[in-house]
Amino acid sequence: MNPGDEKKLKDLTDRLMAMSPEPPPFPEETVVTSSGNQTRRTSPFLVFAGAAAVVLLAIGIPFLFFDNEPPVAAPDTTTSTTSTVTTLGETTTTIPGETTTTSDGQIPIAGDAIVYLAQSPENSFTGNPALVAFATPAFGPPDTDLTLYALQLLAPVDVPISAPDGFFSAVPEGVEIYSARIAEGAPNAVILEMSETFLDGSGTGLLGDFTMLNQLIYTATQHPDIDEVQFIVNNQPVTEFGTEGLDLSGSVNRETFRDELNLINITQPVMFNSDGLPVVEGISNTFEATVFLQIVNNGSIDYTDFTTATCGSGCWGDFSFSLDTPALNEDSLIWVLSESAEDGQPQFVVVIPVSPTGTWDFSGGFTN
Amino acid sequence: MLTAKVGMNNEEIYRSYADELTRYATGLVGPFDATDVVTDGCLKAFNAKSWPDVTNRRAYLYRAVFSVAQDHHRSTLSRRLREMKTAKPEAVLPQYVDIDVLRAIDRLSLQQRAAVVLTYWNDLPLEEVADRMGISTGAVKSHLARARKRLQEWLR
Repeated sequence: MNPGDEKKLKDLTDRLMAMSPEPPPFPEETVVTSSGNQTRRTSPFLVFAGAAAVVLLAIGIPFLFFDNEPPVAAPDTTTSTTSTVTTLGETTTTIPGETTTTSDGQIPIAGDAIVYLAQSPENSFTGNPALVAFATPAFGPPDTDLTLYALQLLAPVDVPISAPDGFFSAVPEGVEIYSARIAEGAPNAVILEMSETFLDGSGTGLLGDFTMLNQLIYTATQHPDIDEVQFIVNNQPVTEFGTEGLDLSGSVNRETFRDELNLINITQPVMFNSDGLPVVEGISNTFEATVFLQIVNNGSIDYTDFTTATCGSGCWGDFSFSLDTPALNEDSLIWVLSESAEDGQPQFVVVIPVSPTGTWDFSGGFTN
Repeated sequence: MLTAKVGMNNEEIYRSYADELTRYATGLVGPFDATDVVTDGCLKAFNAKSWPDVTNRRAYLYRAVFSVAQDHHRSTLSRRLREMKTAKPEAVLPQYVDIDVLRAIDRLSLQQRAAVVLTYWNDLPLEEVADRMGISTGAVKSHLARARKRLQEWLR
């Protein structure tokens, strides 16, 4: 680079810095919390902002699943009942009745987003990576687009998220998700505007490409009204993606590349019902549709259960476990698995870590 | 330049870095939203579970400010510039606004802006820029090279 360019860039930044305003005052604490010093909400279900949530929120049950205590406003803050606006591109859904707590100059937290992370394949005993849903508190103003927030956690530009042990994002560094907006004329479809680097795929081969796509598709369709995804780069549909040049010019959905996943996947964050008992939901394609669940504490199996999915032995079905034990702690692992028809060995194992709050902090993925 | 010392509370730490963080945020999102980004970024950092254990608080705050800029203000500068363009002729820009500079910066991605600002405003060595951005020195070089390419008009 020639010295003249250096000088011009220095001049550019000097002129930019000359526009800098005075620093803002020290931000006083803003608390939207139920306990302690945490300043975030813990209900992942606010993510969905669906009709049920609207009704429940309106009748004053703001925290159903993870937190039995209502939020308490900190002293010296202003509490106001306002509409929270959840947007996905140009579509706006208003959830009346949600209480936000703010103080001067502070912006309340938007809610919880769902991120689908991939389980390292060696944990499944069988091969392909499984997807597991994790709820994470989103930071931002009330109109923060939770779907875009979650997607950008999958593709954290230069700021790696701290995934739970055994999990990863197959979206490689350098891929950016510029926007997520509702497709014109197709209110059930979201258009993801990707950087050119997206076209290179995962950089880890075909399986990685499929995992990356499934992560993006599942995360992008977390809103109950959205079930289709369209990828665009430079305003053009993607006709060649990744190692094999996959054609993504049409809409894709959760079923498009589902067969490239583990045969058991967890589609909702582990939640607790109104009795405080854990609920685990997912999809599977297992022998005779049988799915087993174990709670493992310090290496010993403290609880077992099984259920039958809505389909199996060659077709995908939904399964749900409502456990009748609260025997979970932060060291617990929930194993969801199938057993081999031949020798009874565990197959397609998904090992789910447990968070006491039900949410995971993916915002602090900074290294020092 | 002030430097936070061990044992400082959040307010003292904030006062040590508020000025440089505001300038950094100005480089990322422009002067109009810089204070909001600094406020949100610092709150995010102070409220993070890992904050008490952070050793390099300056770098952490820089990354928190970047993260907020990335999450919520990716297109803010472009929008502001569009608004200026469509504003009534009688609307006068604030005196401090250097529209040419903002248009040039608007051509850059957020990462490129960060790399340029840290490199050319602070004269930081590559390693320090990488540390504050939380990326490798190779990535910083890449961002700088792309930024120069997008700023060709400015450099001509």
